[in-house]
Amino acid sequence: MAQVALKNIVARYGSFLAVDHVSLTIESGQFVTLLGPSGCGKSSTLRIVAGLLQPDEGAVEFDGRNVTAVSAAKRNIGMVFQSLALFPHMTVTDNVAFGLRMKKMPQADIENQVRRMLQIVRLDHLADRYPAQMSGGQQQRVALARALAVTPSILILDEPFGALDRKLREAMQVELHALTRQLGITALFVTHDQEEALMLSDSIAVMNKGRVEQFGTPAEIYRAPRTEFVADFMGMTNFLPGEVVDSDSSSAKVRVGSAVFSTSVKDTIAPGEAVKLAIRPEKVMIGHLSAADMCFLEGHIRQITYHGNASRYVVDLPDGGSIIALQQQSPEASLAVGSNVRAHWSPEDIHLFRA
Amino acid sequence: MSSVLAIKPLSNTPASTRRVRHVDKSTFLVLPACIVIAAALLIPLANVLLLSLNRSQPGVIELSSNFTLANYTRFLWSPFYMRVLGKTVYIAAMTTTLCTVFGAILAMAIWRAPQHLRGVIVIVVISPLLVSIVTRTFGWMIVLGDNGLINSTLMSLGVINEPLRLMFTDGAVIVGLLHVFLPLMVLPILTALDRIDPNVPQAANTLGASRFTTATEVVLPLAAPGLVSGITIVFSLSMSSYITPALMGGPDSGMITTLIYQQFVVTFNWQFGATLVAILLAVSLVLVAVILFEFARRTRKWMVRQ
Repeated sequence: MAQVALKNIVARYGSFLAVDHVSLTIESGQFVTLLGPSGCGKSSTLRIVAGLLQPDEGAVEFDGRNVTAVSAAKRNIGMVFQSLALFPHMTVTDNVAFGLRMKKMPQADIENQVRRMLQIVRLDHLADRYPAQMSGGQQQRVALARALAVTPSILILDEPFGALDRKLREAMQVELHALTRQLGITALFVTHDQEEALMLSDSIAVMNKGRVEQFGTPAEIYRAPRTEFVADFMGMTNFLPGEVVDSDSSSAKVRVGSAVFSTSVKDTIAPGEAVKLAIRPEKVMIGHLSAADMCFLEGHIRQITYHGNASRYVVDLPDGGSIIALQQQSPEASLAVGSNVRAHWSPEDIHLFRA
Repeated sequence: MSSVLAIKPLSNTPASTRRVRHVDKSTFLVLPACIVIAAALLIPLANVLLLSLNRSQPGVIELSSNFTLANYTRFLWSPFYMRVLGKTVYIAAMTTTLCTVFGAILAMAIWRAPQHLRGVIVIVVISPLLVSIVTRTFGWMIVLGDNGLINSTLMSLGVINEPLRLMFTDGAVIVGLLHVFLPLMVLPILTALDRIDPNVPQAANTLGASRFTTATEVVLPLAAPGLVSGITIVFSLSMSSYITPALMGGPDSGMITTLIYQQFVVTFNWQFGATLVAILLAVSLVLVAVILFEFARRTRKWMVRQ
């Protein structure tokens, strides 16, 4: 397993800047995820690491060695494709052995390694099957075994679970998590699913428009999004426009409509500056105030939807905006569509972003 | 419900993609085509096959009810006819082999070519089909003739003193057939290549396979359906080709179709002509069946119907 570093990578398709000066270091044994919406450059970045796409600028280094000009075939990587890309005309054994055969490994060693890999992914009983004779989850595990068999410097996974149904996807996520930690694999994973990213990764790079917006641990990304985009992508769907009325180095007072909230800030935002105030829907409560220092806005309920483990309220605010609240308990009888309510939250749940 | 309902347990394995038998009213749309084929192909063909079982009687073309295998014995015991049959199979096999090699390379080149060049290359590839066979053959005469391009070039360079015999040989026939049939090989292979998931060759690449290994071990096996279609088409058409061998072949490179023409038109021996037709048909069918059977045997396990 190797440390993999991207240095100022730029990739263009014609005049479109797909990857815009991305620098990223994946420490040996770390599981790093590139997270972002489609078209954010995450797949291009991944293909550059794999050697399937040549960057226009910048360098790719494996353990400090510049491999930018090295072809994919000689980089010693293991890659799992979104479409899996198994060899349909080969048995499971031949699929897993392919990379080892290309390395000209002695036949006996190939057999041992294939057997070991199939045991790891629990497919040793299906060694002679063809991909078409297997279920989606089994095919997924073949793809993983094939990529891992060559003991790659880095395991690269391009939205591998995108095509699976929810239940199977969750099972495969748990399996991949266990497997990568158990084998100490350096892995680069690409997904647009933030839950998947949070669960699997040691670090996440959130990408937008070809740039890395934030790189950090899942907890950092989730709790302290640095930009409005990251906040939005991590499920912070309430954005209220406001204006700073007073501030110092650690706190700020923000006016939203006629209400004024105070909140803590990391750096000073000058009074008069327009900001956006973000709050997670699950932190917003509906109904009676539970503490005196709570921030609140009044409005009336436009929509209530039941989600099993939660209820979701859309509250229209007098100034035309709306705020979404996600509550763990079932809807109360007193809260009906049209009723006037207070949506409230505690000051520490407010995140401020410059507008 | 007038249509047949097929009830089948759902299974989540991809292996269960066998098609559900389903009779639909739209099936009747093939009926006119079936009638035309029966009237224009099967009935005349049956007539020819029956005629081959009548005693040879030059000038007589009516069927009689006296059946005999005499025509077939005459063919089988004649070294001359057997040699013509052998030559026919040889020329068809050589044409098919060369077509397969060039066709596969050409199809892969088109498949890999940038999108905007692709249409142009495809048109160039199918252009031989757009030119009349006579024009094409005279074109080859200019290239292969005694005073043609190749001979005059070689002679002016002093490589040879007298012209090589290129035109009116088996080789000329094979070149001529190759020229016409190449597009019929390239197009099915290209279609099969386009059906390959582009990630599959890339996966081979990430696993350390060179371009050549990827082509031979991954791409070509996956293009097998197209290769087999192409081989079947080119082989059948080469076996029954007439004009190119007649115009470009020498006195010695007569194919069985030449004999058929002679029997029907020159000697008016329709019974023996019909026998030759039956033998050509049988040999073609058997060889094509062998190819198809072998292909099915090799791919049965992994090929999933799309």
